[in-house]
Amino acid sequence: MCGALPAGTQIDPTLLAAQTLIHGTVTRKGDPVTVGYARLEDASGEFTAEVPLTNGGAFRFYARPATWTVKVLVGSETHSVTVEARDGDNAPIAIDL
Amino acid sequence: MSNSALVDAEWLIAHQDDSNVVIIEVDEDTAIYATNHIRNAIRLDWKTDLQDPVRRDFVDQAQFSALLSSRGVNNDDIVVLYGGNNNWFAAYAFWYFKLYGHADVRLLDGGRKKWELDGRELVAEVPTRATTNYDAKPQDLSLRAFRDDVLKAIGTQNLVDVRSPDEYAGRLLAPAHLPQEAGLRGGHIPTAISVPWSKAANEDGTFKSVEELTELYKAAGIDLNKDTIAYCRIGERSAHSWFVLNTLLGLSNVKNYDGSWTEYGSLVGAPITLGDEPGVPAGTR
Repeated sequence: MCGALPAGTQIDPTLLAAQTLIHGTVTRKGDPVTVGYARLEDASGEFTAEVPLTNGGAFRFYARPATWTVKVLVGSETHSVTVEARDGDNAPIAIDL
Repeated sequence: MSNSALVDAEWLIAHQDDSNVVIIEVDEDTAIYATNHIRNAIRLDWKTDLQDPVRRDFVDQAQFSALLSSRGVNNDDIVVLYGGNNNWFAAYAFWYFKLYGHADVRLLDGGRKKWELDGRELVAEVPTRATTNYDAKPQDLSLRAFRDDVLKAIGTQNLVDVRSPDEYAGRLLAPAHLPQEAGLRGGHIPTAISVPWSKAANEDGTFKSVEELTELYKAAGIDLNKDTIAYCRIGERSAHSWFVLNTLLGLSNVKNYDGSWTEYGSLVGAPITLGDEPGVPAGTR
């Protein structure tokens, strides 16, 4: 059923092998941003998923190999990063506002 | 805001202490309420409170009556629902309250997300409410579709798939904030038209205008004069679209299929279409 795992949760490596993991953290001057949202949009700009940032400023998505945009919403600010995702665990994305 | 089923933050703040207003948070992340919530809000857990603990179905009429009685909700209270994920599960609860005949239920436009992004007050204190004698009505099945309704609707009614385009096409099996599921087939119900729920919402989680929403569905090829069944993966995103079609646009012939893709994508022999086009009914190719 629906119910996302918190972004800091340890993931079973056997599960991870079948996933395309896009994850990272959002900071401001080095400190985690804890109130905000990360959205995943596909290459056409269509919304695909959204998660609240964790207490550590983290976000995580399970996608597929493709070009994605991670858009962060904090208050009235937005910040976008383009990601070329491949199978498995992708390099963490660091977004400093 | 013209629709009385939708309230904004200013309305909620003005009525936050009214004795006949019950604010309820319903969130995908069922733990977030314990961290903080809108002052005076109580919580419903969409899984442990609203789902049967054994079989896949809702709590029944008597269980729903007992639940709301224990939480201090009266039949004539104004229930205002809100939650995270752009109100997915709050919309699901809205549909659920309507299913059991609650007279006055409303959604907070933008839900928890807009409330947070606007920097409004959140508290940890949990309110207490005296128990009541809530009396739920029998389920209004004109609002709920089952798998046989969906199979009969292929090629005859509007089937609206509100998942993301990648889920519709079969490239993803779950929304991308969840691990992808191995046990399901991918794709969509033949003839279903893709109208992602997200197209009905602004980036801050509020609903688009009635004019924009009407144009959205018309442009996608939905005949608003036909009966409509909305579905997603487990029925919560489609409850959001059901709210749009039924409540904001005022259509009376709209059902939510809460079995959704986790049921349909597991049915032996059920027709499935892959890719970005709606496809045709089985046997007509």
